[in-house]
Amino acid sequence: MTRAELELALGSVLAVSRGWALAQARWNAAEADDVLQTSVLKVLDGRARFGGRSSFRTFVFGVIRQTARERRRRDFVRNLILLRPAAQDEAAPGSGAAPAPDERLSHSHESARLAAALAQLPERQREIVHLVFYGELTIEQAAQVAGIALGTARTHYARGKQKLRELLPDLAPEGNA
Amino acid sequence: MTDHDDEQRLHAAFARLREDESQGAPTLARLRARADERSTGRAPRLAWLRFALPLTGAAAAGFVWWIAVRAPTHDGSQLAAPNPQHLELAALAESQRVIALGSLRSPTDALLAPPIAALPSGFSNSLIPAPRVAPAAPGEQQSQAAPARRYSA
Repeated sequence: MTRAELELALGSVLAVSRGWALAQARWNAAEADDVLQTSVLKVLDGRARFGGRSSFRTFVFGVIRQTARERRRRDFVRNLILLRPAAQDEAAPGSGAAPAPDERLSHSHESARLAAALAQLPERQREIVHLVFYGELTIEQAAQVAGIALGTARTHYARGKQKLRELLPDLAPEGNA
Repeated sequence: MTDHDDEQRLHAAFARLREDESQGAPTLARLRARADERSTGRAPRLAWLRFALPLTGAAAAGFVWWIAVRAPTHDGSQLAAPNPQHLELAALAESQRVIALGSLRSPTDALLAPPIAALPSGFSNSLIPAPRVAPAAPGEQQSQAAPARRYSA
């Protein structure tokens, strides 16, 4: 792909990519923008090359996921070296404490509830559910982005949906928000 | 509520979330501008590394070279250039050993051995044993061996 084609393709998936970056950053807007910016620069600089083996959206989501993981790992090591406590939004698994979405995000009440419920899901379930419902990928594409087998992705998808149903029993049907 | 209904509701809820979050989504140009701001802010902070790293490397290489080649040993000599006095002393000690061994077989050898003229300055042969002379048998005349001589500079 030429640079112009890359820019055009990136522009078309930028909004949904930001949503994926937000989910990766647990709805921390500043961190999500950093991750998105780094990912976009990786694609434009050629550090991440689109090989055409998947859809462009799947590729960009994969780059964002990888960048977010690198950033988390770097922050973890930095905090370890500087003996700083972990970030506030890193709730302990199983503690039930979910970080509140960033106040800078202009979420409606329903969206804020959904984001908070998503944040309570285990990481894999959150990723697969978000990729399928928000990113509008198939489960197979979501499995590619998450780097897991299709069967595993299906299991996470079913469990994630079930958990969301429990967390949001009064989910308003379309148009009633 | 069927599974299909569930999925429809979830799709609708996520669509609303997507719509909300798309309001603050950055454009490609804004992301680039943000990256430029970051890079210009970061450059002066890391600029000192451009000078500090080569200097540190050169200093480390120099130190390693000095340790390996030029550093004095405990007696002040240097590994790369052996002290000539040490070599001379070693040769002298070897000759003394030969003389001493020879003298055990024949006392006269010690007498015939050429005298040691002098030690290099700063050394004494007080630790080098003088050639021993076998004691004379009873009734035999004491040989005219000269007393052990000690040399000092």
